[in-house]
Amino acid sequence: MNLPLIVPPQVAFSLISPDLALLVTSVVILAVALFLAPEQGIRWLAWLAAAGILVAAGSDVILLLGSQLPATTFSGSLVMDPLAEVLDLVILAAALLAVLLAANRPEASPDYLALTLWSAIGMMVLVSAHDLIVLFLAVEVLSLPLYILCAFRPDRPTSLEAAVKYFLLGAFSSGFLLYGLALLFGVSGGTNLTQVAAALATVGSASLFGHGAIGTALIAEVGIGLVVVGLGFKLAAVPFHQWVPDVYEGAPTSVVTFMSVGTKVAAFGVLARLVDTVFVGSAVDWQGLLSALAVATILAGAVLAIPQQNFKRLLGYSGILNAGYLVAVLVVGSQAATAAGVYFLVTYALMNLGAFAVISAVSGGEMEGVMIRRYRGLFYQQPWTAVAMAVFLLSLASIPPLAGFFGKLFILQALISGHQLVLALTVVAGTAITLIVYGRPLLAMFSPPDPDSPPLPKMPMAVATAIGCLAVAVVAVGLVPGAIVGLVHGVSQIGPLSGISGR
Amino acid sequence: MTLPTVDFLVVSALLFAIGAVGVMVRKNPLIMFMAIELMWNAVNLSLVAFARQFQAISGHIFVFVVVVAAAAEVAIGLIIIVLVFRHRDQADVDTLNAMKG
Repeated sequence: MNLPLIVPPQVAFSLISPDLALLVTSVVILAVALFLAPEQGIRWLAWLAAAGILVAAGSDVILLLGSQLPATTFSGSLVMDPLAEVLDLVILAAALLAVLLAANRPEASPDYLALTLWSAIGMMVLVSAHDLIVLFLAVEVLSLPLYILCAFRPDRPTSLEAAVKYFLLGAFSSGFLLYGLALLFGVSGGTNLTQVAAALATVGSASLFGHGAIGTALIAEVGIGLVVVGLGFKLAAVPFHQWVPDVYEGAPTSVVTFMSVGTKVAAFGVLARLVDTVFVGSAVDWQGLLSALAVATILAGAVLAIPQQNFKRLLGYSGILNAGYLVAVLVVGSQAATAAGVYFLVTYALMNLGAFAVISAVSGGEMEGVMIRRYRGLFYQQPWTAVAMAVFLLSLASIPPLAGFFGKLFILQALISGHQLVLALTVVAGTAITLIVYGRPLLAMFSPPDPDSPPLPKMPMAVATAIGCLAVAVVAVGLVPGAIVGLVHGVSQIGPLSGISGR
Repeated sequence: MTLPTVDFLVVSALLFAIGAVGVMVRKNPLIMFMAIELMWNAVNLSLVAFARQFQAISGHIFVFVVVVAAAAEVAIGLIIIVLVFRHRDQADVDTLNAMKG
């Protein structure tokens, strides 16, 4: 068989400078750790990781403000556009907070820092992926470090149980994703999304490779369905959500902080890109599947969150619910809808990161500290922590004028202008149910304290600063919603990459 | 004599289904993991068949990438599974029930 020669790709290194910054930082951390005694200097390494993340974020901002975007590199298999860069910033914020939270915890080690950075690289590549091979590889690069990170407290049986569950279900769902990608390759004969989109636009009743029984349209439909199943697992959509509560409860809080936002951002980014470049122009029905997924995810997430006693589990179900909103907005399939989803994701990241930072600070690494009953009377012991948590919870419950309200408002606008009334009603119903969900811990915090409850651990300065910044951001974005609308407006320029060709 | 591509696809789909059913019915995490590997390799068969049909090298490269990712997955998965069941009498996912709800 004659195979064509492989042409080495042209690489624009400035476009991948954020990823390179994280890669260099992780290698430096592992190299420096060789010369440090264990337990010593981990604070310095954590600061080094934070500095590397800030450098990556800085080069992201430079790319966003510059005139290079949108552009492709690596022979059109990576796309750098405003969508990817904005989502990269959210991923980096989650990684930064995870590093700050872990710095004073038993899980802190050079390996922990390096694995977090590698997973962040996988997420950043995934939101830029424009090729089936790169897409699959990025999903693996983001997942493999997370499997290990979940098991980073081997002294706790729940940490290992979370790791096994996450690993087995993760590898299982990767199989479905992979089969879906293979079928899309089989329909189009190429791995670049431009080729896949061109092939899917013309699939019809023609049979596959001259075989009567199997039509190309059927193969394309099954392929898209399997890809959505695989990515739905990463996004935590119902019915692929079973791992979420157990992993959120069992894994170290700093890891959950990072993965709750990071995997959601990455999975939404790649799904949005697939919808905008491949699904919308295809001759295949994809909206029914996503609508059913969205309705099931919103309703199941909201209802199952009500009886939870463990704060991390509660936020796990809240994450499922919010994944439902994201899937719903993708059904519309317009660039304005994608922009609304990105805005919602930014506000969700702010309040979710804040809530997990408070949980981490209040629990002090104790298993009992993450129960909601532990929050009774928090206001009388640490008033500012309670106020910050109240801001995050009210924002999650979409109370105006906080950031979460406008995120939800833009999603509703996109759904109504896209004539998705059933989905809009489901979003409203889900929001109504969450008032009960978030109201319970809220009431506990402001009720009189238990006289025999143990004193709360002292909060590290960096964590207190991070919580304060996030709370101020949630209020500020709510009061001035236009502040990031301009940023997100640039995101709606994505589309089918008309200006640039995927060589 | 060359076999038609569709025959490979049918075999691949059957292997994938056997793997998926295996994950769902078996309780031993090692066996479940083997079934997952079967699913991945069933997909590899599909990819190679498509690559032959299209004479496209990208399909072969895809298979190499999948094999490398699967190797990394094995390394990590076995560590986690061994770590968990070092302190337990039996390897059975039904005993992993500390967390519920």
